[in-house]
Amino acid sequence: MAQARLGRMKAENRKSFYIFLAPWIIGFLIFSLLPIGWGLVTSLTNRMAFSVKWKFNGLANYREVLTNPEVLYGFMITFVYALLHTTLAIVTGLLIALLLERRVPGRGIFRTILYFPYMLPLVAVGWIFKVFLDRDTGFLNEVLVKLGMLKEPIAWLQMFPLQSILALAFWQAGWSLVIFLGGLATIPDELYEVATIDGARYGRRLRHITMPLLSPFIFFQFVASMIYAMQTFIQPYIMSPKPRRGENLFMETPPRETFFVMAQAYQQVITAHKFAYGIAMLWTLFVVILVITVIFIRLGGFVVYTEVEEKR
Amino acid sequence: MRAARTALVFALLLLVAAGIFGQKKTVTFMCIEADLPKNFVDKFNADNPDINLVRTEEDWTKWTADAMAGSASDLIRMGIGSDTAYYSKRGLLYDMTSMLKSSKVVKFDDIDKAANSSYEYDGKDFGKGAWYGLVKDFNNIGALTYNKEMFKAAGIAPLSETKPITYYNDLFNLAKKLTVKDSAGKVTVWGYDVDSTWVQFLVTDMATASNLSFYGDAKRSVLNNDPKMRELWKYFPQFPVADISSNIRNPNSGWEGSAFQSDRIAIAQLGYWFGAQLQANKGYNEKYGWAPTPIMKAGSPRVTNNLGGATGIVMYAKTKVPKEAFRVFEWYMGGAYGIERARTGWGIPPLVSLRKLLPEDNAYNKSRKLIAFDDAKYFKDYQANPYTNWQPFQTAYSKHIDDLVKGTINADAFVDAFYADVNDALKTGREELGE
Repeated sequence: MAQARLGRMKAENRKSFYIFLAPWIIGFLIFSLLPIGWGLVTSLTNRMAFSVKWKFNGLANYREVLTNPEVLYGFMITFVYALLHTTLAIVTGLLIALLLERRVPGRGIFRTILYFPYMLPLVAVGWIFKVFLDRDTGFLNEVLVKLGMLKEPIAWLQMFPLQSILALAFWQAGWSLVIFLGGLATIPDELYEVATIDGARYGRRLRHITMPLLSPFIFFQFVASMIYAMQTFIQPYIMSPKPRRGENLFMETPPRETFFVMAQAYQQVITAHKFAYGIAMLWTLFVVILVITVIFIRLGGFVVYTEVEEKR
Repeated sequence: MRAARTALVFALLLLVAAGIFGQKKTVTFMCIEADLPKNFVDKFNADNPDINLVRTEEDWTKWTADAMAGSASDLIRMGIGSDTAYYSKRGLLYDMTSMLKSSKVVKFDDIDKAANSSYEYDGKDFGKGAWYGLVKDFNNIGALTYNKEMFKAAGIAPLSETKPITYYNDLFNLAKKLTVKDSAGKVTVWGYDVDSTWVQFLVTDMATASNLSFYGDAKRSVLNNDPKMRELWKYFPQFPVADISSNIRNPNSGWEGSAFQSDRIAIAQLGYWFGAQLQANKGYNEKYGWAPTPIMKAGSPRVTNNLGGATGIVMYAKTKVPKEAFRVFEWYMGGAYGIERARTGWGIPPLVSLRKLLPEDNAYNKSRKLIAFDDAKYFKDYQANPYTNWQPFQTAYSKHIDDLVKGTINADAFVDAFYADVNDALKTGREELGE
């Protein structure tokens, strides 16, 4: 009798669980899974934006993606950008976190000030940097010329488009900063005390205590940041050096060095109207990101310190 | 009881019907605010209580996505008239012929057929067939605007208002003399500059004047590899290569209109409408001069165009409110707002009767109007094709010009790369139409 009652209670609990989860599941099915599936099926056709008729053409779009030199270059440059952006953001965040870890007056204010740039919308930051790096009116050139470090202003956006976008990584280090501050707070002080007593200086403590115990946080940020950076879209358009009239942001394609995969896919779907082909590019990007993530997770096992021995 | 229930149901049905039939019909109009200011929208709504006119910000990404979903804006501002070929072939534009012919606001005989020809398309040629819209106003986009002070400083006489200069080689030589560099070699004033969008519309004039076609076949499905046609595509790139126009080495961070207004460019090639923008500058009347669209070389015929058919308004094929949308269209073209627009001098109205309203209050406005009407006599259709809109030409030009300026490719390689990209777009278009 008691068991039957227990069984009924468990059934009730399961029912409640699914009822509460149902809105999310329905939403996910309708607004995420269905469109994703539809996109996958469409990528296997020759459909254009306004096709009069289209047909199933198998993996032809994917073959074109994987053999088009411009697209392959786009994947390569996207990967390079993602790697450099991630590294810069993490290193900057870590350095600032290590500085802020010290108990100095005004530490809280500094944390807020240094986190603040991350709170600004990406579009606003892009515009700020576009003006900052402008050859004729940019603050950077003005300062460098006045300091005598440059003889004449440099057209940063034109001559160094990839590096110009990478500069945004410094402003986006706020996310890393917050995570590292949290990570540093988990490291017991006793470890540092013992190491100090044993004569370890700051460098050795950093190398043998801080970095190993922070490695899971570094690893998490690396993977998450790579996934995010591989999907960069708007920054190349905002910081494009091509002249632009009014708010017509997408009329000109970014320079080759910053024509990342997302922008190329957008251009194929919306401008070139190669609908199915553009979706095939996005699916290819998804697979590439998945493969990179899996590789990093596998490699992570060798470099990430965990306190729990894994059962073999 | 039963009678009361029946009466209640009947009353409810009446309420619903009143709700449905008494509702305003909403007409969405996608355009920039400058082309339909809020006060005019409010006035239209006040004067037409059965229509709710709503302006949505022009966004061709959104319109493309909406059209793919079957629910685009009812009316849309079409930047380049010859795109009518592209969109009508894909069943996206509403045939307004019968509405235009029976309209009492936009009199059909009052429409300048030559200026509006790009909005009349029979599937093969402009100027024939169904009407898909009208220009909102048009311009002679090849007309030159120049800074008289810069000309004087360079010791160059003002340009004639009646006799055009030549592309080969007056324009290049003038622009070279007018270009100013500082001691470090940085350009402080470009002699001439042109928007990458404009290039194809100027080359079309040069091609038509030379009896050449952009295309290598009658269907217009592939670019013409004739060496003479290829030479025409090399004309405008020589300006940035020679540092006479902005380029990757000497960039202009804005667009050439604002650079001209800021005294960074000596000659701009934008057209009649630009004159209205320049009136924001103090002393514009004395400072700026106008000249007609250049000709190819001495003795060449004059050929001009209105930016591939000019900016106009078209209706979405699947609009649910065609009658109401057409009333907005009529008001926009020939009604209160059409009249107001003609007075501003931002372009030449599509209706002949409104042209007397164009400003002529000073020598500057008289000059640009005179040149616009003179150039208009020589309008020829832009060499459009039904497979692409204007964008692939502009994208391809813009994509490869930096390599040419940097010297990593030469002019022939530039044309090869340009051709490859545009031909690819033409091929895509043919596939889209199932050809």
